[in-house]
Amino acid sequence: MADLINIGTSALLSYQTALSTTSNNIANVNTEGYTRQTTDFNAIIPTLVGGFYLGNGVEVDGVQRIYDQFLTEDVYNRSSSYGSAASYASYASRLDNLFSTSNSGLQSAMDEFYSAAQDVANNPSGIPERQALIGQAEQLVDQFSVLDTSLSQLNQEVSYQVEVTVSEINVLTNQIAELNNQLSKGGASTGSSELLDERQRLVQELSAKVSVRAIEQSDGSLNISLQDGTSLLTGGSVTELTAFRNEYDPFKMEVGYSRSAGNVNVTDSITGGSLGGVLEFRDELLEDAQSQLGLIGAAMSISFNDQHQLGMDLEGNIGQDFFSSFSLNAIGSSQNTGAATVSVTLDDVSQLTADDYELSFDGTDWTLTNHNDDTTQTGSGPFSVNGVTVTVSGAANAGDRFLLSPAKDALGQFSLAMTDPRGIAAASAVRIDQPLANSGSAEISSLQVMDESAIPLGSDITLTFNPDALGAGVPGFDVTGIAGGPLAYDPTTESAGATLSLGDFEFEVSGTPDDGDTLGILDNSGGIGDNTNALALANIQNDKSLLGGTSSQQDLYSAMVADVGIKTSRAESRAETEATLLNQAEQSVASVSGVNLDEEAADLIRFQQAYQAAAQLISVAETLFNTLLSATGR
Amino acid sequence: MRLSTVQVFQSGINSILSQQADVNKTQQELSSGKRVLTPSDDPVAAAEILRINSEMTKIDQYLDNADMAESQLELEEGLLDSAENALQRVRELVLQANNATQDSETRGFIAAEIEERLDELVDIANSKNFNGEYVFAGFQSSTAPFALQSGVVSYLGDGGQRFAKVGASSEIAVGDSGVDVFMRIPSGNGSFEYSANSANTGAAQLGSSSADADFISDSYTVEFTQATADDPITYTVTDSSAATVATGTYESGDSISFNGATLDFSSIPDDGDQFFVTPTTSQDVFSTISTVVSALDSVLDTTASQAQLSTELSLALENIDRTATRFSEVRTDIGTRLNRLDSQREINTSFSLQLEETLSDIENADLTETISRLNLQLTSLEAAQQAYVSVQGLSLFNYI
Repeated sequence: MADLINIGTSALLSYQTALSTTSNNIANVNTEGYTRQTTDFNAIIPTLVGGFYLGNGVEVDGVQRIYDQFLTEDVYNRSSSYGSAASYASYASRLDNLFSTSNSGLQSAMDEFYSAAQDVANNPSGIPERQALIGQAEQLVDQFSVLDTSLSQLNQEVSYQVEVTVSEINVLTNQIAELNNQLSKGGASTGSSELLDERQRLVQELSAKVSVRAIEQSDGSLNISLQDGTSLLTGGSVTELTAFRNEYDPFKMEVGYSRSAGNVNVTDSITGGSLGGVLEFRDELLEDAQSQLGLIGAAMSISFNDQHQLGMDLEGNIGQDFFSSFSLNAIGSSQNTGAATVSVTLDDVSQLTADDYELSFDGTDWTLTNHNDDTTQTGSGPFSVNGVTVTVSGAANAGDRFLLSPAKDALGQFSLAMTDPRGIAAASAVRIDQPLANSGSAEISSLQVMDESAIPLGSDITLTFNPDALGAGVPGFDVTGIAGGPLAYDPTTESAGATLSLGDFEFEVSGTPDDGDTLGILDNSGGIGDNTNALALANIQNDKSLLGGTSSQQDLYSAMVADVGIKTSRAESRAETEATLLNQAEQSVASVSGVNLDEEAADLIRFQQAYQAAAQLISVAETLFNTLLSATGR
Repeated sequence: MRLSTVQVFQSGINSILSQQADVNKTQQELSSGKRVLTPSDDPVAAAEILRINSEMTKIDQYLDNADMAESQLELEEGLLDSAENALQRVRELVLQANNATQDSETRGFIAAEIEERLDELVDIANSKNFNGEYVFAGFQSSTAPFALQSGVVSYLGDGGQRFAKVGASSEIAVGDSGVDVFMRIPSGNGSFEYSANSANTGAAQLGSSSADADFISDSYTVEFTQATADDPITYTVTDSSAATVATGTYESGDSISFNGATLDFSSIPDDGDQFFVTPTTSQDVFSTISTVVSALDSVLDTTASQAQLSTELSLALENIDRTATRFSEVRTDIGTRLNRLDSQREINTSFSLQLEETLSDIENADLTETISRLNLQLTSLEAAQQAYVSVQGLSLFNYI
């Protein structure tokens, strides 16, 4: 009888536990990171009675946490990949929106600007046309500055995001360290299910911010490191990450950890997670877009200014800068200790690229590294690279370094210098003179000034035809007013046209001059009806002179927009794929560890019935006992 | 597979959310009518759209430029038409003056009218366009190019010629400098001009001249000799180095030819009368006409003086003919440019249409396709919502 009661009691207690585990599952059905638990039963060791083993009932062997380590780790990895793809895509789509087709700001401003230049060519002395050109130029500068500002804002947001994410990462590693301490006290096997759930949830949250490796130690604690092995957490001791300013750019945040010797930069080791995504966006898309845009600005202002300075304005003066000229800078690292200074000059805008360069000193030599293709030049300088000349002066210490971003420099400095409509140099600075007294048919055409230093002319240039200019029987032009004569020109073979160059002038001579005929190149004084230079200015639009003669300004812009579009669309589809993969991984985990209410309902019924049956055992035992009592008590 | 309850809820919600995002995207396409809203929608198309839009702006500008060029060229053509008429009238007057029946009074009337025509020509040459620029001043467009002072015209413009860009690689001159239209005109018959020695006393005069391809450009002197009135008249032609190039006898109305030149004389010269032939130079229409006026004003009532006038008027007629040729050359040239403008405009317009078509293919949403896609998406969104509601109603707890 006692056994019957004992067995019944053990069953009642066991099913109470089972019911409470089930209730706990039901209660936590919506708890994030909760792992369902089941109750394991065990038959109590039987007692040997008179040669038979009699069972002693049931006991709870344990409450099991149902989970799969591999599936959980898969979720960590997927969280990192998704976090990275999602944050990259969300920033990229903001950049993408800046260039949306309904807001084709910069492109149409460029088009309108060059159209306005053609309007000036149609009526070179008209003030309204000139005013309109300046108006369009202002519009263009505005569009540039809108884009520049938006990109800088995005950059600052990225920096802010880096700071915030780094501090969130630190909070998470500290929380995990706390849990490590609690869990290792009890040993791995006795770890509380809820604490393990919580730690698992925190690691997943951490993985969504940065990709980490989590390795469980024998004492139940979890060690966490970045993918390159940089430790973030060992047992209970945390290495906190810090966000600190880039040595060249105070608005750019880098990630590292601090040592007594200074910050150790681990930015390049950060992969995955929202932090990895945002850093990748900055490196791959944002800075690239800034450089590309800067390149367009540099190309525009330099090409336009160069041509403008070859022309003559309405007052008869040689053209001034139309856009403000800009200076290129080498930014010294904040850690430089030497006194060296670096000057950067742009020699040839047609060779300029969007690349950044780093110039570093190793104690004997300077090395100039192109960040884009990693090509280097070593020596004492000056270095010449992609149209830029870099000159070093002063004494440097080993380790000193400078950053050069010539294209990006131009972006912030793109502004309008010309405010006076009369200052627009629509006319050519020189004109051709063919005196009426000539009896031959020689004429000059396609006169080009190659360098603004040649104008205005010191004195009129006169070419006088002389059949013996270069010795007896060798015809050509005697030249006055400029060095470089006499010029060979043989009317019998070259009357269809010969290109001659004289100092900084290039022109074509054709026809047959008579002995003594003169051709002149004069300052174009009073030539306000001349539109030659305005046409040349408008033609810059179609000029494929950039990137070594392969691209026009418009080509650069559409390439940049296409680049942003391609990277954004790739990022968006990657984010979608990663979301699906993460979802699948979470589903897999949930299908093992998640609570299903129907299942719990069934368990509830099952355990309830078993409990009722066990209670019935007690009742049977009581009936048996009473039967016995009544039988003997007579 | 075992599912957790949260999973069931979540996947239902997820599918509704993603369907909603799709519907939203399609709705944006429909409301904007555009398939490509941001570069990431179709990066290649986005770059193409930028290029096409820019190309279309350029073409619009080329069409504007062509309109501008056309009105300037038409203005110039009209001016040249008036100039031709004035010149034609001068030619008639010169012919009229070169008639033996004229006396000094009628010559005076003719001279007065010619002078007025000269003023008219100067006015035409000094015309302004609708921008207030002098049409024939070259680049000196704010300076009246022709200044007439006591019968002498000076040119204050320059030889500049303006161009307009009317196509991607097509520039058309929208004007001609006054020096090319009115001034740099070959004199005489285009190879040489002639004059009578002012000391001539005979009645001989030069009526016309011609040159063939063999003409040797040089200065020549034709001298007539007749020792006594009974002798035949002989002539000797010498070149600039005093070498004799031709000799012969002359009778009234004979032509004298040498080195490719032919001179048509009439009447009888005196012994020692000379005529000069010089290579052609540049003449301007204004001084040609001024010369006529002063010749008419200064002629005396002597045979010799009138013979000289006649020679001078003959040369003036040749000069006027050269000028008329120049005017019609320039007008032909303008006509060619206007034709080029028209064909360029056609090219531009058809290119623009083509671009617009391409743009609409690339950029615009296919409405039929988009609307049916929206309907499909709405249907599956509704289905997802219904499925969610009915699945959520299921629970074993409903039965215990």
